[in-house]
Amino acid sequence: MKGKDKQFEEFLLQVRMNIEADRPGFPSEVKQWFDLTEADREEILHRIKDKYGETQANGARFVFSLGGQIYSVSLKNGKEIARPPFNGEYLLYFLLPREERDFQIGDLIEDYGRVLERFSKRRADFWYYKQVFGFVFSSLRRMLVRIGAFVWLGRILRQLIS
Amino acid sequence: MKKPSNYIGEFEELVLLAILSQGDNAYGVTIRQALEEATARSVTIGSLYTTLSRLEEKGLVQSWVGEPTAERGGRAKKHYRVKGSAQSLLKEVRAARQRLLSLEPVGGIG
Repeated sequence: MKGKDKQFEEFLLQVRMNIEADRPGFPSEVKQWFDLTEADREEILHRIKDKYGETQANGARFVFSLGGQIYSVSLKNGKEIARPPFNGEYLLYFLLPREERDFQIGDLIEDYGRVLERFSKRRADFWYYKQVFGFVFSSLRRMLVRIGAFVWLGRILRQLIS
Repeated sequence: MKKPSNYIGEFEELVLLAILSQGDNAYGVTIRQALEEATARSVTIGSLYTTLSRLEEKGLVQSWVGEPTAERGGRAKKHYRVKGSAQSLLKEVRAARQRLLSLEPVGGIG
């Protein structure tokens, strides 16, 4: 198990470096992660949690899901490397409710691959950001409606009390 | 269980019809593509999911989670199905529209 520990730590470090450096190279470590069984992946995440704490384990889960995007887009494009813009992904991660995050980001990744197949990376990135701003706009609108509803209720209550 | 709403907006109606057109393969990507092909308008995934969650709250659609796939970076799909109550509501809306269209417009159209 010691060997597996070391292998995994190197793997995690490499994935993190690829993402942080915005390196346009195929991360074989991600393929390696996808080649693991679900039970192995869960075990590795548990081990990170035990060793480094819950925050680190959640971070690792996030890093792997990003790695998964790189892998999926790479699969679609043969050896050509591409992935959705990191900043857009990061924004979505914070904006979307946890229970909806996986499905919606998954849909975007799938569609991003199709746009990329048909057009250039720049156009695919532009398309991706358009979708992200759609999310931002919807979230803002929902938030404003909620605030408006509270203000309106507050006024009604004040009128009733006075 | 929540009682289904008896009012739907135009976009909600289109989304329901798009789900119906996709059968068992109705999830975010396919629904959005069906909408864009039918309306020739761009639909963002954000606005689509806002509508889908509203339809779910109204008790008009039900969803279930599919298997994660590598194509989606190991993320699962959320599939949607239109409930029977929504199908009758769609029929009512269509009938109401037909009744209104059959009325003689005062002063004519245009």
